[in-house]
Amino acid sequence: MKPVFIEGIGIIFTRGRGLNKFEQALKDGWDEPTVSADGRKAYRVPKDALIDYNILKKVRRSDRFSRLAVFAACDAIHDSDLDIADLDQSSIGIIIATAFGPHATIFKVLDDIIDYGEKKVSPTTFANSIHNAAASYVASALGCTGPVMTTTQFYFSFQQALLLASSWLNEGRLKKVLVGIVDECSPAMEYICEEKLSVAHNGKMSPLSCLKRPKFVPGEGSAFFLVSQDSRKKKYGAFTEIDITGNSHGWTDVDLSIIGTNAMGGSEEVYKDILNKGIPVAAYSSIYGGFMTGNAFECAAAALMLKNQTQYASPNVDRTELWNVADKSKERELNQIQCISHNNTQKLVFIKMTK
Amino acid sequence: MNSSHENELTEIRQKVKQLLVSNLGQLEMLGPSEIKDDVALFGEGLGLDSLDALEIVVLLKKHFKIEIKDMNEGREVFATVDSLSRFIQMNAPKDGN
Repeated sequence: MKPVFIEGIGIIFTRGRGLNKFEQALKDGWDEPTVSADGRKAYRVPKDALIDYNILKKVRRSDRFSRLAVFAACDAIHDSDLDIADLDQSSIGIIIATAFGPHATIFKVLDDIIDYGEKKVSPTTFANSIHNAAASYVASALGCTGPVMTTTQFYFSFQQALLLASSWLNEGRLKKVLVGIVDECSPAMEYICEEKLSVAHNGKMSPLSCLKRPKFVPGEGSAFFLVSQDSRKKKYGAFTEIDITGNSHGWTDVDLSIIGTNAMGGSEEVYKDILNKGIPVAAYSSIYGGFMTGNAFECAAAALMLKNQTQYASPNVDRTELWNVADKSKERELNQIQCISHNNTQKLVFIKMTK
Repeated sequence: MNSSHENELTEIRQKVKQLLVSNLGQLEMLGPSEIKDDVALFGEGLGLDSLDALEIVVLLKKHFKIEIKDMNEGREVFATVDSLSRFIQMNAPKDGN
């Protein structure tokens, strides 16, 4: 794979909006999740993080799901110092990965049909229930006229989006791609997590437990990367390898492995190469919560660490007898980091990032 | 006009403003109290457009059981909060809301 360089990152998560807030969260470590009125714990994005009338006036009909995406996407462009007006606006592509799409809006449409009949469903709400709505709002807000796509593959949507971005850039079809993820919590999602998965009622996740169903707390948010194959524009390193075959146990030439938590776990057997080599591992999902596309947040953490040449302490230190846990924040030479995600059949996928 | 009729109209105006602010993205930056009864909803006034008109049609159906069949009629009815509220008062079924 030709390196895909990161020019800018935008992020919105439970502690607010902006890469600075995310970096501070990595430094600060674990914090309590928010608690809903019915007592469910989740890492939810606060309401005030979604108030910015300069952006909202461009996407006034959008729902919360699309707003999460638009805010992070605009911030990625801002972080890159790119002035889109200086570019051919058809030379930027947009790819959004999501596991569940705007499911809260989809449920609202269905509820309204049941409660009031199909003629009394808001046309705007229906339009917002389409999976590609968020990508369209991002394109509209930024004035981009290049290709726009939404990918969804449940566990590995972000990895697929990155592969597609790499493919578009390889073809020479586009100069830059804005690639990111968005997923949201909702009462329905939190109920399903509570009933079907292993929610950590003390708020503490256990991504290094090697259990098939590790304890987790649902999370939400959006993270975007502006990427290109122009090394001169690199600000945070690059995506250099993506392995979605499910047959690999990972690379052993990396300085750090970041384990994701999407409520599924990998056994000691699937991590044997990392364990045998004693490669340092970290898991940061306790900071933003567990969700299927959360691997983008791990990549954002890796990008920051590669840029700053600083390892941030893993907030979860369970199973220290098993893992070589990166449990201290310190300056350190970091050349390559791999971000690992897994599905419910013990398949691992990997994204390798390089300084 | 008797006072109960006027009180009912005041209540409808409040409900209309709340519905507009809650359901039309164009107005979410405003509080219901910031919308004057006689300001134009469309064009130079609050800046609503044709899709918002469609949303108002749906809101009338859902919350007041009123159907707008003729959009020419809607043009006059949708002029201001006041005209919309008076239309609701005249046309809503008595067991409405």
